[in-house]
Amino acid sequence: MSTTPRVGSAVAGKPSHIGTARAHTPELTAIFDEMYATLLGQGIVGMEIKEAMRLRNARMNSCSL
Amino acid sequence: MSWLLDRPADRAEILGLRPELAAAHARLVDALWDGPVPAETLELCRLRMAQLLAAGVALVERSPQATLSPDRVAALPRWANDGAFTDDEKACLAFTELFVVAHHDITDEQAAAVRHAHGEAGLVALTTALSVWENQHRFDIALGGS
Repeated sequence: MSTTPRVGSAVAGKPSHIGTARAHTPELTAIFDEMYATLLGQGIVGMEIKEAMRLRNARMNSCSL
Repeated sequence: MSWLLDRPADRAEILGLRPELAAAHARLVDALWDGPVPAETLELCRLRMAQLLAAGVALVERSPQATLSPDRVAALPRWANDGAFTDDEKACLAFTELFVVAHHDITDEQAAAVRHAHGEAGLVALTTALSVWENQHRFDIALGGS
């Protein structure tokens, strides 16, 4: 696991993080985020259940973000 | 047999139960091919991931954006020692395999090899594609798509 960013920032003057790294592919990132928003923000499964699943998934994958 | 429809159903039918999600997913899957990583390389990675996850639906699918010879598909499990694959393809396949089986073990050198081959945008694009396909493969398996 890396302790330093593997992708530089695509935003001038901003440090590298997940947001500025994804900015290297702005069109793809926008479409991904549209799908993610559809997944999270709509439908009959409540937000609390979705957030609990998201956090459980993050914990199982040891994702600190 | 799909658990949701009580009959054999493919991914499109199952996703179609949520039309707005199906449309957003389709746009995303199409967009994966528009980046700096060659389509054939992406297709190799998609298929290698399907092999590792035993994703039967994805294994028989072929993405229309790429054309792979049957010989290269057959050699895919042995890509590391097969001259049919370029160094750039091998860099992406190595990244793909660890993304699936031990993503915390991806090394800086392996990420750098993909970056060297396809640039920073390529590394971001490949990683995004892998995350989408992994979810799609698991979706098929979990919901019994055919």
